[in-house]
Amino acid sequence: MSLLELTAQLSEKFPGRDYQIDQLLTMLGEPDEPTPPAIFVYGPSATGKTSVIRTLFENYDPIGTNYAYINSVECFTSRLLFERALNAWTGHIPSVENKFSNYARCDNLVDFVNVIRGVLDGRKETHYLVIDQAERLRDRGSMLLTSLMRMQELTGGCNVTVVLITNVVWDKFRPRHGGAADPQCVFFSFYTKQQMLDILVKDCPVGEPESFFLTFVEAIYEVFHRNCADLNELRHLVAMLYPKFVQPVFENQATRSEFSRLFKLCQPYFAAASERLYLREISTSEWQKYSTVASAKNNPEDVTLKIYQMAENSDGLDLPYYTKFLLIAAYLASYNPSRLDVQYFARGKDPSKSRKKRAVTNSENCLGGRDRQQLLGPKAFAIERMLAIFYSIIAEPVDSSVDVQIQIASLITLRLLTKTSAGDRLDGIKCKCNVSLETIRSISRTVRLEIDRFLYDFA
Amino acid sequence: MVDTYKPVDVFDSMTESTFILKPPTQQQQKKQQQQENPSSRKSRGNIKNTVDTLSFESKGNVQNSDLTENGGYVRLFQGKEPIESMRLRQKLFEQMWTPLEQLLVDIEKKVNNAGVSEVCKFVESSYKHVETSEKGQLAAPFAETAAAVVFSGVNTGDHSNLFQTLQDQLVSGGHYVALLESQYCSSLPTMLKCLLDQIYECVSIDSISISENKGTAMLPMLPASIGAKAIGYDMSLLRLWWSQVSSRKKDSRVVVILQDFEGFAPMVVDDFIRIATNYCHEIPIVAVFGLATSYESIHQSLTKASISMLNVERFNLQRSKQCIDAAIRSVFVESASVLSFGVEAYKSLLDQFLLYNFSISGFVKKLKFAAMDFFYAHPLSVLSVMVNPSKDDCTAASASSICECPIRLSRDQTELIRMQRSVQRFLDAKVDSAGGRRYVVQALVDDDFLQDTVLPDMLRQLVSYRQSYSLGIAMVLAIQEFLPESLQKPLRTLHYYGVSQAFDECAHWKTLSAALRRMKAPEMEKLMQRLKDTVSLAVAAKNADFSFAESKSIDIPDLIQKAAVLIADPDALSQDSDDDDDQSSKGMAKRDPASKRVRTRTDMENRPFLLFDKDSSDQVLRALDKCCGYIESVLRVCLSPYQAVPLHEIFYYRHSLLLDTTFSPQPRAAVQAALGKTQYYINCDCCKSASQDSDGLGGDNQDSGEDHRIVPTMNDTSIAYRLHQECGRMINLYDWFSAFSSVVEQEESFVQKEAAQSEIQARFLRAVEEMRFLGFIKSTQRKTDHVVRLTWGM
Repeated sequence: MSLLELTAQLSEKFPGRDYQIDQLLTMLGEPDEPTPPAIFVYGPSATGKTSVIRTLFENYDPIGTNYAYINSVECFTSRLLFERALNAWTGHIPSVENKFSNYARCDNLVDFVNVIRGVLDGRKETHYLVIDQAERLRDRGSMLLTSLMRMQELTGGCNVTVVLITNVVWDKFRPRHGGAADPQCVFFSFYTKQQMLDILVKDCPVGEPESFFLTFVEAIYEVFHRNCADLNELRHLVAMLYPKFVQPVFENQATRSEFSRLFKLCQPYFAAASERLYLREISTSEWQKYSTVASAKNNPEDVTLKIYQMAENSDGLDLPYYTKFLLIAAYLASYNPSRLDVQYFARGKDPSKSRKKRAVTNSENCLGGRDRQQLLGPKAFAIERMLAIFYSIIAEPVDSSVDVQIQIASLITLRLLTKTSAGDRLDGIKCKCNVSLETIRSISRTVRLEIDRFLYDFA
Repeated sequence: MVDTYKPVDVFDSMTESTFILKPPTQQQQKKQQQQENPSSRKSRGNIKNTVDTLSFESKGNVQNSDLTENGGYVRLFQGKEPIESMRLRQKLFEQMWTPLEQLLVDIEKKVNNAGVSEVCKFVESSYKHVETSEKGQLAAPFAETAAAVVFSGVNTGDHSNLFQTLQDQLVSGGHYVALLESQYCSSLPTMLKCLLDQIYECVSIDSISISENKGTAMLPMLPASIGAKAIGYDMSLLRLWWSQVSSRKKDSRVVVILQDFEGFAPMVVDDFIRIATNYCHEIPIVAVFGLATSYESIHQSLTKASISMLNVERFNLQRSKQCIDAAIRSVFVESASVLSFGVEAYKSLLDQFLLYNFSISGFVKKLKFAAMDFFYAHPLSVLSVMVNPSKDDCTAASASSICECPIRLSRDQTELIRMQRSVQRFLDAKVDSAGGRRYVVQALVDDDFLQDTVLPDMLRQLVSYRQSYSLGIAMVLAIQEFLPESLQKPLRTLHYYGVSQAFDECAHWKTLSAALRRMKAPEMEKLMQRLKDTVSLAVAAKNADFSFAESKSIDIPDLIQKAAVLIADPDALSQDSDDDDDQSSKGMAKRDPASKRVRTRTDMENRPFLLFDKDSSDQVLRALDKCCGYIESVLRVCLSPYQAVPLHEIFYYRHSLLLDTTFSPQPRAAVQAALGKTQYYINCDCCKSASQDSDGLGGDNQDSGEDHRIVPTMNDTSIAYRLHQECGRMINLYDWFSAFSSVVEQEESFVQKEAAQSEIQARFLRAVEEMRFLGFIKSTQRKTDHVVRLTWGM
């Protein structure tokens, strides 16, 4: 296949990526032409980097011994990376016959370079090492990246090109010691609206009129593009919502030309479900299995209610009685200033007095202070303070048995508390409370404690 | 006489609450004799003098070897208990505990069964196309890894059992399962190593069974077994291996269970999800996340990118509350075990569960501990051989469900039986009946008569009480089904009401009876049907013996039957009324036959619908009223408190203090008691004698029961502790030292002062250091030569 054909084929498959495909293929050239030592493909997520590169190489080298595609999340040591690359280049497949061994053993870079020299000796074609999610390579020692960038030089003229795919710019990669030559950069930009729509329309299910689908997609795009530029998310939303949108047509409740009526029928799905679908509080399969069938017969309020229920089908956080109080105490210790503890928790003090004081502070600014803890997030507190608050808010007297301590430990393992002091320090433990206001509200409701009475400067 | 019998044992002490018994020394013997002095041990003032402590005095070593010989059982009554009795206790414990433990395990499994099989179903259906009625479905835009989120409750201690069950279930379904715990998966490489190791292990078992079955089947070779270790653990190997396996097993999945999701480092799970999603086209990987808290924690720890790679379904698995209810129902209410729990012990058991940890295993442990305590330390636990809870046996033996005791009771044991309050009450009640006086005298004098006649009588009453109690609870549950959800109480609470007081005194009783009185005729009819079923079930299932209720002149099945008939046919009341109708209502009906209904103030309150309800006749209303009365009287009898039953002291465990001190120790209190009341721990003569002296001298100390004098014979740390109690927040070290040395110098050994001074200083420093180590004081920068005191009170 000639390069021109390949370009045309890829451009057809990936709308809006013509320029990048052209750029890449220009750099690659014919298989035995010299290439730059490194190509750096970067751009925001969901702009087609990985899929363009993978398809490009699959078509460019159908036999597959001239390029190695490696995901660096999966190859968590450089040894895995090297050996996989060699396996791919030599067409070696570990199997029963060769006792699942790799082509060669490469513990370090020197081995790798030596083996490459042996393998590539006499091969004229350029060999590519494609590394996806290349930002992970930065954590594997500074020399790895440098050497990969200069692989052509190190192997003594072997035709090797390293292709890095990442969503981080090269400036964040450049090693401090400056040993790496700058690679050729290929930037994958955000899609424009037209490109986005072109891609979304490709998802059009079989048997549906494309123009009708396009109208729907366009509406979705208009609603969500300000908040979500991620193509994958939009595709997900389209896949989830389109069946609901088109359902009334099949039920003969509306025709395909009555867009406004269709949108109106679909309204509850858009309004209530889109956020939950985006956050995956309702997953794909749950949505497909349990969501109410869209229909003009259904009451929109029922639909909304159903969707809310679907997102919250677990009964939330259920803790033992004292543990609830411990968590509330932790929350109070995290968000209240310690200087006010006496005012809030001291027994025998007139509660109306303390409330009056609080009213004064609040009346200065009904929205609360600008630097209030609620906006700053939880602050660390000493366990002793939390225990003091615990014994003060709990109504009945509690023995200080080990059970309380055990509960603190289990709250930490459940990540409801976060330990901020060093792990080996046994005394003077400091923690933060890792629970949201809504959760703590619902917990205190179950134990009939008015949490708002104790919170300072909350709005 | 003290009402409570406490087996005076070597267990009951703060320091010795363990089953490893050491032969007490001379001094401990002395201590035990001194227990008569009430000031010496506050915690156990109710020890009976008549029952003496175990005596190891003469032959400590021999006894020690006995401990290992008989599995820790010793002969009670100062070693005078017959050996057969001890053996019997040993045998009985095993007989009781082994099935009970199995029962509890089964209950836990049964409660979780539904959830587990749901998860299994999910695993099987994953990666299959979901069929829906909707048209216009789009192909999924990108690959998602199937994941089940399993909410397993906060009692993390019980989770390994639960997930083990899940794993077994999945493995038997032909899937390849890896169960990962966060402690072994601190990084991605270790996690993958764990994962692949377990998958390969699965395969090796699998392939062995296949090779046995088919013989010639080609086995997928195990990467791990052939030098793959050198390569490391690599998902691509799993893919290669899978390509060989999958041809044979189409429906199996690779299931990865993360048992404690919260414990995993978020980055590790994140990376794992990325990898799994990369492979999910080739290997059907299903992730199962065990979540102890809520769904929020997934959003907290995973990144948006990896969350959108998951296709999640949610399941509720561990329902510890249902589990505990089922356990309480079968163990206590339906009395699967001979030993039941008294109020205090039951409260301690329940509190630990509800207030602190929701832990089933903790519940089982406490139960076992109580059973051990009962059979190890209670000489009358042999009586439980006569009460046989297993149904098949007792039908065979006799209708009375009381079996013969295989051994003769010793003199000590019979005496102990006679000493029980409830037995005395039982005998007192007998006196008035015909021939009762002879019966009582013989029971008090003749041991054989007591064992052969009186004991079975009493035990029969106990068994009958338990059966009617169980029936009563079942009836309350049945009534509750007709109540709105907010008024229903769980079984654990009902049982607590049942044991704590007479049921008709508790608050729930009012709710129940009010609800009963509000019922309309059709509803009541349904309820009566339900109750009739319950009763007939109880009569059929057990070798029913309602003699307990009969003793209170109530025949439960008959009464319920009557009520059911009544409500079905209210007109029958008028004919029926003459035999057992109470006079007042009859009189009323006769006095005012013309008026359709009797409207009193209580009527208005209880049945407001009467104002609108014109249909139901007076007869119906009267029938309703009578039904309520019947039900209430039945319940009142069934759920009467256990304290009225003879021998309840023995069969209702009430050693709650032992349970508390064993399972929720109070470290601070223990340390402070050890330092502040040293004499109870060390049992030395010197400190004791000093305190006795002061008793003799002052006399006013006796009120507090405490001796605040500091004597030089005490331990150094204890002296330092007592001295620091008198200080404020800041403690001047020099002052402290002077006080310390003034106490210590009284010791006789310090005759030469020069040599003594440096030794005292050294001892003081050591004491201060220990105090700091124990956390009572802390050094401070604010004032030189001062330390901060950290604890107050107690």
